[in-house]
Amino acid sequence: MSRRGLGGGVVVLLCWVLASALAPTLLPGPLAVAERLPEIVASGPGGNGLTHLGRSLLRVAVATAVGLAVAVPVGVAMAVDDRIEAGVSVWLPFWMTIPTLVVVLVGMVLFSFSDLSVVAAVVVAATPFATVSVHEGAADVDRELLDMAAAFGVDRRSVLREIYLPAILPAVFGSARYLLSMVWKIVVLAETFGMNRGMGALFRFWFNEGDLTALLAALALFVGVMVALQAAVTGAERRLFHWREDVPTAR
Amino acid sequence: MSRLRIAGVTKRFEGADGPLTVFEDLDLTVADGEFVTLMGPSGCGKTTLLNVVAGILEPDAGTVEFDGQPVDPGELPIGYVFQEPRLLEWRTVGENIDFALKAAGVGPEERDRRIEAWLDRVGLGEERNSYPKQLSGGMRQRVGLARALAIDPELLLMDEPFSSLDEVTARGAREDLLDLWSETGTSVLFVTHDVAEAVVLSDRISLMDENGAVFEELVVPHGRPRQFDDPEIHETQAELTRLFFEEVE
Repeated sequence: MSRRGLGGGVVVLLCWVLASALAPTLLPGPLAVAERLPEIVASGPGGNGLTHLGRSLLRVAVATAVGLAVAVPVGVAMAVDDRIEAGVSVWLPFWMTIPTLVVVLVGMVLFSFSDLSVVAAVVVAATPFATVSVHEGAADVDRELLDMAAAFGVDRRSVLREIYLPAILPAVFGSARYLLSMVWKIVVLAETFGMNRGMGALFRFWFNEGDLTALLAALALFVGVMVALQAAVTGAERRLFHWREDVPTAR
Repeated sequence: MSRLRIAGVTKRFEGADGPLTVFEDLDLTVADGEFVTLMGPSGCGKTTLLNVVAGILEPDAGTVEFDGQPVDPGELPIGYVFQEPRLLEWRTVGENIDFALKAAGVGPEERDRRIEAWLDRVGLGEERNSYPKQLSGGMRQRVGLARALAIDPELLLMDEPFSSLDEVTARGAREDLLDLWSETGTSVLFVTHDVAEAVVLSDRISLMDENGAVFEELVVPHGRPRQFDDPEIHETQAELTRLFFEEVE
């Protein structure tokens, strides 16, 4: 984690300590929450925290992959073909304005509280945003490079692989990061509403028990893992795009 | 026989106020091994003409002939050096040249040999695995030149390739270009608005006016090698400048 990120974490922690010291009956402090973590990770009354976590992560991964699988081809097609762009962009604001909560509820009812309802909710609620991001990246393709490729008689497949793909990859990674941050909220929301496994189910259990300390411990576990995942995506992005920033510039 | 013959070529673009004619019924030839330069004011259609010859743009009328046969410009065996190097920044110098060689249908071993040989010839033998961003402007432009020559083109198109370089770097690059041209014997169609550059480099200079018409052709009356500081070259430059401004102003 960067020094700035670490500094931010320390500030949040200090605020938490201060708030819990001012209202100890309302907000448990970080130490009290940390003490409950082993119980959450092991098989406690709400079920094994790691099992719940694994289930949520699997849903997050599948939903993000499905979201990207829809957003990337649609976004690229919009950049390549004006008719597709005109046809799709009319509908994007419509999908983007539907409240996520309503999407999750409708998904739950339509797909009988199954895993499919989570994926469907993600595709409807998060994919339009990712599509816009990919489209913007693909529309930024350097026309001069396309002319260069045409002058050298480069075939369409190589142009897609060597010019379009590198141009949209940063946007794809940006969308993946964005999707990931949006998807886990939708997944947890759906799990809280009506699933037996997953971190949302664990949150619901401790909420029903009225145990805020255990609820916060479960939340800390989940947020910690999600932040680590986001950092891993950012790290992969830096390695992949080393030609953009890491190399020293002109001599 | 002319290597390249552009006959009656017209190009129009759709503008906000209707079609805009860039040039009309334009004729131009480049003989085998000849170095021809097109000179004209900005916006007269020099780059558009190169793009038509390269097959990037379709002409609205006229034909492009190669060795006496009408050809689809897209099929012409040409190398193109642009005003900016136009390199794939995510690929190494070697991979950038490979990009053009693959498109030309050259086999893997031959590609490897040519990349090595051409990078050596443009003085970048050590930079095969560098990324474009690691190179200076002059070095990047030389990669562009190596890419164009590596495909062993029958015709080399060059669009103000030295205009973005400082004068010292540009002078060295022009000398390198003349060395490579005399070694390969490739026909060159070169675009510039630099009178001195045109006289030092070219066998023949075609002058275009603001309307995209060729109004004068001048055979450069000097043997080679030529020096930038030669008084006779200066005289030709002055004559060319006079001809140019009489028509364009």
